[in-house]
Amino acid sequence: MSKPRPNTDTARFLVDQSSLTEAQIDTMSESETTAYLSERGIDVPSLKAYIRALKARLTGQAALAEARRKRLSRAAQASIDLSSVSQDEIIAALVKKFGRIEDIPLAARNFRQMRRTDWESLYIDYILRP
Amino acid sequence: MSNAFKPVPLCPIALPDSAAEEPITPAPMVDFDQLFAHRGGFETAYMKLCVFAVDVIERRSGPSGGGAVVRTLDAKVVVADAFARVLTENTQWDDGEAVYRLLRRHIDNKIHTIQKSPVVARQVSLDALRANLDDEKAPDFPDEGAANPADQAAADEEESFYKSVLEATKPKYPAGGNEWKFIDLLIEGWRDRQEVCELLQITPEQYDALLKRVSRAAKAKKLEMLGKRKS
Repeated sequence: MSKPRPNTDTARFLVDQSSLTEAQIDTMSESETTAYLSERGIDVPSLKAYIRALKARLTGQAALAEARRKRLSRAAQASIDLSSVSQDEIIAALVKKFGRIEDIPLAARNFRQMRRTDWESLYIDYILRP
Repeated sequence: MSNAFKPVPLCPIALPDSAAEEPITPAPMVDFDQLFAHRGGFETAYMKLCVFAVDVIERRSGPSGGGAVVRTLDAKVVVADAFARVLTENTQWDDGEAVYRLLRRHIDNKIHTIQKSPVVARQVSLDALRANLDDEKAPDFPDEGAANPADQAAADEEESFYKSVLEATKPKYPAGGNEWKFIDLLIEGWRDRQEVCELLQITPEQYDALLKRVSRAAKAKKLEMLGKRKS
């Protein structure tokens, strides 16, 4: 059981009571906001310059983030369902492309024991998206 | 691989239309002034968020541990970090008020996390470990839930600091007056407004005024002693 800390608890209670409410901040005028920050050693003109520079940077970052989201969304939509195709049919198509089963580039994938998903991956890459 | 399989006529699966390459259209630019138009524009909204960040920093500052780290935080950087975090989330840029409130939460959570984070890593005595291994006994580590002496020392330092703050706040007011009695009652654990009114024989309105001025004085004294404010 931790030691009681009455002075810490009391001081924190009092400091919490003196904190600004959301409404108080929302209703602050520009001059009040400037005065509040200045009293705490913040150089307001420098802060405004910082804000202007940051706005330009954030605008670019927001556009980049949105473009990235669109790209990932499109990639997810491009997943192909091969459940209706048998493994034999997949292998047949690959053999047709490469001539012999031995010529299918399995070594490039380091496949020692081919699984269904491995065959599908080869089919998508070499047949559907040449 | 089976040698018995025979080539089978195959109709290749056609790519679904959605997988076809779409023309890349430029992402819409976020107009932050438009987003925060209801808050006076981006600059005004950012200044208000800085006010909020300063207030949280003052509230969570302390003499040691995470509170000491909080003291060193720059409000404008804390707000910028909140914006950076919002950009990594799946933010809906059509609701400026939702974005503003999300920023406030990120600011508060970030500062709170820093305040509560341990500043010094827990240390294990290797000599004790070696001694136990030599004796071929199971290592005698302290329980995972045991109190960390470093945390206890920080709590003791904090208690001593806040005791000084409260003692330094009292002289602002007449000796033995309601302000002194109020602080003593709080230290004893009294928090209920009605009970304190009865003990001090004051009205609820007088209690509210008393709480307001004593809390402001205590906060000012705390920040003065932490060296945060300009002299």
